[in-house]
Amino acid sequence: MKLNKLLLQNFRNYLNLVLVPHPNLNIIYGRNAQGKSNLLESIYYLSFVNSYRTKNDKQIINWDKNFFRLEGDLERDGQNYYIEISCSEKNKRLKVNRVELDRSKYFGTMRTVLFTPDDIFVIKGGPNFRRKYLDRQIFQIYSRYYNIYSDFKKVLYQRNTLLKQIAKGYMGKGQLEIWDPQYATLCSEILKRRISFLKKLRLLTAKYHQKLTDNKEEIELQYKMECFTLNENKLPSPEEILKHLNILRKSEIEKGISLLGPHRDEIIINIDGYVLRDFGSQGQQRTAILSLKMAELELIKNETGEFPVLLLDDVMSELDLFRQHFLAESITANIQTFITTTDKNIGEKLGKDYLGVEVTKGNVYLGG
Amino acid sequence: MLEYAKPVARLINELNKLPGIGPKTAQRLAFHIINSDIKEAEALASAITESKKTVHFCPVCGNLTDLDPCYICRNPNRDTSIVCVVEHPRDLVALEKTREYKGLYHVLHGVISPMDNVGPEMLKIPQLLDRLKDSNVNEVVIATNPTVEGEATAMYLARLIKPLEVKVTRIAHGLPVGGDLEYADQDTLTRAFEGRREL
Repeated sequence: MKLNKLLLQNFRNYLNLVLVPHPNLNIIYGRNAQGKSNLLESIYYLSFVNSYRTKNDKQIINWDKNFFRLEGDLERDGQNYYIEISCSEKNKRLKVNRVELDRSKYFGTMRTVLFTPDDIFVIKGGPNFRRKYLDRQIFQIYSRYYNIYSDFKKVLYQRNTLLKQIAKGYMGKGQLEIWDPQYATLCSEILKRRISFLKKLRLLTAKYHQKLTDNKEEIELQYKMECFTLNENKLPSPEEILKHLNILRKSEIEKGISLLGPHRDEIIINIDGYVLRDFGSQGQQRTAILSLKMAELELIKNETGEFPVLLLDDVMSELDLFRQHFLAESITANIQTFITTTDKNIGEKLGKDYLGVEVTKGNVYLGG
Repeated sequence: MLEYAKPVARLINELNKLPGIGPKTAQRLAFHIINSDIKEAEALASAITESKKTVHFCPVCGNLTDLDPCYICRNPNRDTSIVCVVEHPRDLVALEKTREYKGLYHVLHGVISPMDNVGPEMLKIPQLLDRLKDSNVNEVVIATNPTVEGEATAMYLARLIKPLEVKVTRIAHGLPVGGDLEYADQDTLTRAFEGRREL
């Protein structure tokens, strides 16, 4: 997958920018606060229709304007796709080849893998970071997962509201029975997809982690449900989930929330049998996140037949020389990569053909 | 609105309140009404006030009507053994246009949705149960929309009606007729696949 042209209008500090990226390596350098990450953010936005830095689209629109536009000329499976996103304070429009699409159909048009220093939260942060890490990859590969997931969120919200109403005595317990069958079916659908995805991801992560640690460490990803003992080879059917919901009924009503479901599940990352989040050193955690990211990249390639666009936001400085080298080696000619850095010489260090993009206050100068 | 004479401004303002009518359309409609014959304007005005005064919910099925009961409930040619449950009167109209269904209807006027604070008692569900008791109805077709709330409402009705020994059915989900498989969204396609039947 290659982005052959990128157009930004009123996006953060870029008023008007047309960039023709290098098919392989693009190095975006410049001093701090000039707009390097904004450029990566725009590519990410074209892919996920939101930003990894803010939930509020208003913040992305240039201060003096009331809308922003992004356009990209994308080459995928030997075909060209022209993708456009325009966003004002009121609405957002998505187009592929001039045809307007809704979000669920737009998703997956352009696939990207982003790697930022904040990804360390996938290891260090709460379970929601790890669920998000997993779900975001599944969204990109199976567009139906997006529909299942948004249906699940609707039912979850309805069910939680109902549980609170039951606790206050406004509603009878019997009302839960009309939501539970849908809830259980959606839970089992999500679980099925997450586990089948995790099984593949696990093998790839282990492979990369062994390479990165010279076979010294073993990484293991384990999926854990809060109120249910999970057997990955025999996933619970909707009927079993229903049965379990009945057991949990009393405590669910007491707490006013749904206790069983994909929104409560956890993915535990173990190194040599101990929990990385609690007992791992900084270095181990960074190595693990690099393994996870490399696995993500390869898994998307395996599932879709093409490498996604790789975005590296200021991560080189976080890695030691060995890992920098490993990452550079892994960026083969068919992975289009965008790297932001303050180090102008990184391109020479990587020893590859590249396009240097110097960013100064929202202006771009193409260099060596 | 200083650009307009006061009565014109008032007319535009009133039209603008209608759904789907923006300020430009409102202005266009207002000028059309003003330029038309007084009789036409009076006909429009009386159509609005008359319908508002006379139309109400049918005491039997909940459809909009000016008669008691409505023209469907009182039609002797309709099949009284089957009742189709819909969310809104507009859904009833859509089904009626097919001219295929000859049974009766029941309009719920909404769906169960805890987050909007709509419980079953706020819909016309007790009326439906009263209707089914001591009647010759032997099938209830649930035609609520295929949304999460529509499905939950269908589930609720099924649980409530089955003990009355009345058959409960749900309309099928699937592909639009004359459509192309390639253009169907994946959700619809999956549901159509689940609901496949033997030839």
